[in-house]
Amino acid sequence: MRRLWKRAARMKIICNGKEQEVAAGCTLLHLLADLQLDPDTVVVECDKKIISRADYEGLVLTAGQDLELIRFVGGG
Amino acid sequence: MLKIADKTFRSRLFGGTGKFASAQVMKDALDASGAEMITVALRRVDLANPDDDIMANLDRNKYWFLPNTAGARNAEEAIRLANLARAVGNTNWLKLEVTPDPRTLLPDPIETLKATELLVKDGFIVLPYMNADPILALRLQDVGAAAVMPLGSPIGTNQGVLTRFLVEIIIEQARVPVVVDAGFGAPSHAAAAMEMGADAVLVNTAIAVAGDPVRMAKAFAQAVEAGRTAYESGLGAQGKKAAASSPEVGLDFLR
Repeated sequence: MRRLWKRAARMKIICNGKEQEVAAGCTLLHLLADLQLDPDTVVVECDKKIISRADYEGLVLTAGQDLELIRFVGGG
Repeated sequence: MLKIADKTFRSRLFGGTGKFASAQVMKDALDASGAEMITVALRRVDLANPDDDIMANLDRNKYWFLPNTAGARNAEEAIRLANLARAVGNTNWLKLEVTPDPRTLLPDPIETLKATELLVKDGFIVLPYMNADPILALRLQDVGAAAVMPLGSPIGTNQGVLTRFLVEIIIEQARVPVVVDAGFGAPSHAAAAMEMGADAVLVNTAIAVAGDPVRMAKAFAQAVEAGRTAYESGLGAQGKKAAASSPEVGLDFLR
């Protein structure tokens, strides 16, 4: 019972300025997969600090974190 | 061949990737332009459109990416964007843009100089977008800019090289390549910049918004090549007094 509750636990983070609910214990790589984003073309700032791509898998998100997901777009 | 930092380019036309109607048109136009160096901007991912990824449409083996800091209003914002660009693009090349006034999009010379100096020290290859100010060009060069990018006219205005007199001085004095950027509305404008001795030009809007962007890209490529060839061939001096092209002798039979 307890385990089920744990599995279903959700938490709130800020993602590109908007509140987003994710599973507790979710890694950054999981989040990108959930959002259908290619981790190779997205850079992430977590609380204003750039996260190295090698750390996407190991970074466990915590409630209240402020993430910015940025990528290249057309420009001159 | 054009050499910037340690990289050589055959094409002297740099392409922008903004404002195209579709990814396919952008791809085809860049292909037709022959550009090897292309600019990109950085923005928040649109979470509603995860597939809208420009990197899925551009071959990194074919193009050298020059991320810009468009949207930055001061050195601090530009440096934040520069670090993001380096992280996402695995490149230390940067087109530095610091434009505090959205109405004119003219670059802030003081913030641009400050950011160039800091970014060069941090290992970036910096190509600053700048006002066509010959003294500023020297200052940027002195703090380590890999090239300077004076403006022809404000971004997106299609007015051509209104800064001609100043760009000519910049070209005459520069020890780094001069890439004239912004305001090119027609291939003739690009040819004119190349005839002046610009090392390259960066064109985006005029190609992207053309009726047929692919053919317009080709036209710009031809103009840039023609202008460069003309510059290398040595243009004749301008004068106010007419000088006949046909012989002035041998007309005795008429009189």
